[in-house]
Amino acid sequence: MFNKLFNRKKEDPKPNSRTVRDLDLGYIFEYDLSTWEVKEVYEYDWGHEDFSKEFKINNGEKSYYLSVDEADELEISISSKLKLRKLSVDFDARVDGRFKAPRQIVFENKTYHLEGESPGYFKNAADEDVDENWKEFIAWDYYNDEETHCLTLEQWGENSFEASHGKLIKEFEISNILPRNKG
Amino acid sequence: MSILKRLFNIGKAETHSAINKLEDPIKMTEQGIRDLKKDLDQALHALAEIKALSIRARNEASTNTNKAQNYEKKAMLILEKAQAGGLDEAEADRLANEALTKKNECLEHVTRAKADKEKFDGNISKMEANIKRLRQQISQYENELKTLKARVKVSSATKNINKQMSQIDSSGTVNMLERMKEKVAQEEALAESYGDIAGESRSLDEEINSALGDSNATSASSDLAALKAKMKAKKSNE
Repeated sequence: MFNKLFNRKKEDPKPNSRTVRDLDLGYIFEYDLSTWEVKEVYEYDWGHEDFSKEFKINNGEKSYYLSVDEADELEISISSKLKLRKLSVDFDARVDGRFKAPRQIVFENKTYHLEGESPGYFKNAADEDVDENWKEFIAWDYYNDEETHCLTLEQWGENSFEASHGKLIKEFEISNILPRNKG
Repeated sequence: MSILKRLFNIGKAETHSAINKLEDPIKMTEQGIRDLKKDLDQALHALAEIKALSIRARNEASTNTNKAQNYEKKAMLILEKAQAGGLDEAEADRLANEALTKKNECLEHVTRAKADKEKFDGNISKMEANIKRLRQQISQYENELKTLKARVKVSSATKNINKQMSQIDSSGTVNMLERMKEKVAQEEALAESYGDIAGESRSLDEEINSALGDSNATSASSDLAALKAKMKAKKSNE
């Protein structure tokens, strides 16, 4: 009994070492001279034990999506949804019944090159971790020549497409991460 | 002072002394730092709450500003419609008035939200200053603890070395060396004495042989001379 009482390990709080990897629902952080709140958390499963997270963030005026991917090295991007009509992409193009993503896309005078096609599964972290909540989709990732900006096309189901555009940021640009209790 | 009171004081002093011995200053400091970190974590949670409130107030101000602009636009459209004859003027005035009332309500919300935001931002500044101080304190304590740990290691190692050195001097090696020296000196003295005794006990024959020298050595040298002469003669014959 005494062993149980005295050997109980106390978890040390780590208030000085929170990173972008620790972000969660409700967390607050600083980016681009503004304070942002994590409003929603999304999980992506790319197969082969490759997972990534995305956060819907809001600063009281704007909402963006903060993506954190640590497949090879940490890649962080801030993006927003894009109207499909703003892209010169033929979403009806099909080869063997599958959408044929273009090799390049020109958007706002920048040429974006196709990096790869990634089929995966998506789930809102607030939803229960059951198969029905994971939605299948395919993503095509594009980067500009300098790899400072990114553009993503996503296909959900047969004919539903979404696009987003954003920029890659460095880990240090996200600072002053403050935790909040969920709920 | 009564005896009982004195006894009690002695007991108290002894207990304090025993507890002092039990206290490990390093562990106590580590615990202190852990407690401070816990306080800091709680302060960070509270700061996050206030920042979230500030974001919400900003959001409210922004939304209500848009709504107010929208109501004003609607009031203008109603009046324009009435001017164009598409709406009864009295009804248009009533609706425009309603829209402007709504607009003012929204503007009141904006004013309140902005005041709230200012208040929250003031609290945030104060809390951030306190948190900064707390962080500095933790950092200072952590550094001091590192130094303290290093000093404890050095002093403990020095203490061990000194202890060993003192043990060597008092009990072992120095005494053994001294004893060894004495023994060697004794052996040398003994050897010298034996030498003296041996010198004194030589026989008369030994003394005579010693005076004549070693006959074997003489014989060997004459043999060598004969051999050399023989070799010389052989060479000259050739």
